[in-house]
Amino acid sequence: MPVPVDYNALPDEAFRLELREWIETNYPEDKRSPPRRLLYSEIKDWFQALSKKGWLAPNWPVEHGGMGLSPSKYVVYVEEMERHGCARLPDHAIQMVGPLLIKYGDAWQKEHFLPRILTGEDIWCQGYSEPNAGSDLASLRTDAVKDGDEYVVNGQKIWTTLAHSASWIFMLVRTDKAAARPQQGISFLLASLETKGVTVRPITNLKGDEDFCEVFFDDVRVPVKNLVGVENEGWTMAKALLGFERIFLGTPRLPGYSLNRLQLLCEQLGAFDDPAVLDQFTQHRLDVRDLTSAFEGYIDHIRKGGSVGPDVSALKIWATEVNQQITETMVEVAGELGGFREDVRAGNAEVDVMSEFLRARTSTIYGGSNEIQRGIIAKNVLGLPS
Amino acid sequence: MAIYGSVECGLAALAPNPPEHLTMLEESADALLAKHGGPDRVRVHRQQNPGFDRAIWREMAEAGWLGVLVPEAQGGLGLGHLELCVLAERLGSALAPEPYVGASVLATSVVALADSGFALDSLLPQLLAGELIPSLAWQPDATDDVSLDVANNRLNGRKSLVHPVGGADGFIVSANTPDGLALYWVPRDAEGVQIETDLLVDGSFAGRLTFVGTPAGKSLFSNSGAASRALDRAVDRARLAASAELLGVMKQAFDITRNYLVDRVQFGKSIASFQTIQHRLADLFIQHRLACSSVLEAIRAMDSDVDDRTAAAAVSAAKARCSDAGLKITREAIQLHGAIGYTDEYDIGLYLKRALVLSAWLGNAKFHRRRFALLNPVT
Repeated sequence: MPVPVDYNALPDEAFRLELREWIETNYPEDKRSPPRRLLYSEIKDWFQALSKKGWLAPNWPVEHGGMGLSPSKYVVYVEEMERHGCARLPDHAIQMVGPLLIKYGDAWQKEHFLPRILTGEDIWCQGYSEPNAGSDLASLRTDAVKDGDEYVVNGQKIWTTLAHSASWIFMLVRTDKAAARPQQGISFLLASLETKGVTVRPITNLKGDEDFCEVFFDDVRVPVKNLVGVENEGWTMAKALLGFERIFLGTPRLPGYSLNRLQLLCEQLGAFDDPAVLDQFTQHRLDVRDLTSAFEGYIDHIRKGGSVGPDVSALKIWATEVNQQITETMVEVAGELGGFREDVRAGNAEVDVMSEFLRARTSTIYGGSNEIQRGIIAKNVLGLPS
Repeated sequence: MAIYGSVECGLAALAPNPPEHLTMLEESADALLAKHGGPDRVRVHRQQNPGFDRAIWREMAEAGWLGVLVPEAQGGLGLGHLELCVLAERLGSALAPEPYVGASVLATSVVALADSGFALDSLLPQLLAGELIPSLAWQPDATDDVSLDVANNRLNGRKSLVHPVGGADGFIVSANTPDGLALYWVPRDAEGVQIETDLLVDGSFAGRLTFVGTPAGKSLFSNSGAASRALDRAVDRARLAASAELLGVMKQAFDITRNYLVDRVQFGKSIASFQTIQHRLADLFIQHRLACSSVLEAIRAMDSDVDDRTAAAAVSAAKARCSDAGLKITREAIQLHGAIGYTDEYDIGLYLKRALVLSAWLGNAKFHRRRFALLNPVT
């Protein structure tokens, strides 16, 4: 194990430079800004390099093998990873399972699971959504019935990102069907995907990739010791896991990348000679610019110890919708090539027009659809009545 | 009623590292403006001359508002663009008819940046005291501009879009001379000054000035380079302040609309409970938040030592965003009110009209997007 370092004691800029230098030296060049989520097998070398360096879990406390970063240092960490175009890891365990177990897990769960997350031995996926429980997650119906020292799980999860690359799932299950409110009677359960009765079926998305899956549970027996925290308190725990990191759903990196691709396309096609295109492009630039100002203002607020309020939804809505609009302009500028499935050859470049356009469709759906986000602003920011 | 729950949302609330005096400034501005009445003052003064209350102008002078950016050594407050913008935001919120940005930002900035004894020792103190109200005549008429008849030191030609006009005691006039651009102070009643006015939709006026053999007096600047730079700087300050005024207009229109929708009952319930209404209000909230961020970014640029081009681009970004957001929010405010929103008696239309004037003034959103692209080209 590497010797823990108190990164919080470093000045931000020193920490930034150390990260930057190490990332540039160690990150595989051919994996920069990949067009889709990578499987563990595809990004394993980088995962392991981070693991050996002790930099895999920036948000975990040092005593559990994390970096123990303060919010302001965490922001620097994310900024440097994004700046270099580092692929998002299969990071559900780092983002969710670790914090969950550290906060609510028992001694055995912490000792058993946390080290295996840091070594990459266990890769986790998140079992929340179900076919009939999407935005209305609390209506989930996958049930776990206690039978001796085991739960018997039956039901189905869906939109389970990278489940086909994972060995474990952390899931919300219904343990009390008679509860007065749907939010009550939900528990947190950890299950091995190797268990008999589990079936994982990848779903092909609009891009033709297999990023997410369906996971079926047919009389799957899960030891009771894999229940996290108190039975029927899962909803409360899941809500408590929503940390300040959700601000990154509104990162300007996403539309910023699309804007760069649009610029390349316009330059290669000579489209900026058309003042209407230049006007449209400038509108996009200013949309991203103002998003960046708003985002950095929020980051600054967090750096100073402020908390994330419901108004953070504004960033997610704006980032993802501006991103979509930029990709729509890409298709328009591509003209008759706008229907090509593969990258568009424009001058000396190949531009991922369709890949960007299709990818942008998901961003307004995941992480709480933009309609749900607008509801949050209406209720929790503007105080509008139900 | 707390509109945003725990989330603050004005310029002062969102500013990073706000100075302690900012809240005081904001509160004293609100108090001064509230004392004299709200949007009803717009109805009192519209389509009238001078179109505002000179007594309130003098109170604003006593409070130091007329010289926010002017150094203390010259009798100003020596503060930055953040304080200026917070004041402009409050004035926008109150729909104050006083020509704060046109006179005390656009015109007074030129005088404060000048290097002649007349400008600094004679004119500026009178402007800061509220004794003289200046206006800047810098934009040519479509057919003609003002030029200097060097032999006689007289001005001839036309200027347009002069705002304020009715209450202005004199004009700072830009003129073409053999040595380049020069700026002159021309009292309203000077020889050969003809004033025509066009009514704007908010009830104020824009002036068209014709100069026929008007005595030019002494140039406010010793050279044309300094005059040009001061003019550019003054116009950008005014664009930024107008953006902040728009912030106040849009936020107040938003709050009025939000409260109206909560109170309005149809189909047996508050119409603010309907999702279609809620999502529209959420979108307007986002536009206001982006507009605040764009103004804060421009304030940072204008207060720092970045080059003029970068600062000008930041101002254009802010004016573009605030013009669009101001119009969007006030337009939607009318629709969300329904028929009552289309009446002259109800206040919400006053906000739309002020937003229309402020959005068009000193360059609308499209103008500033193009200016941004020119100042800050992609390649």
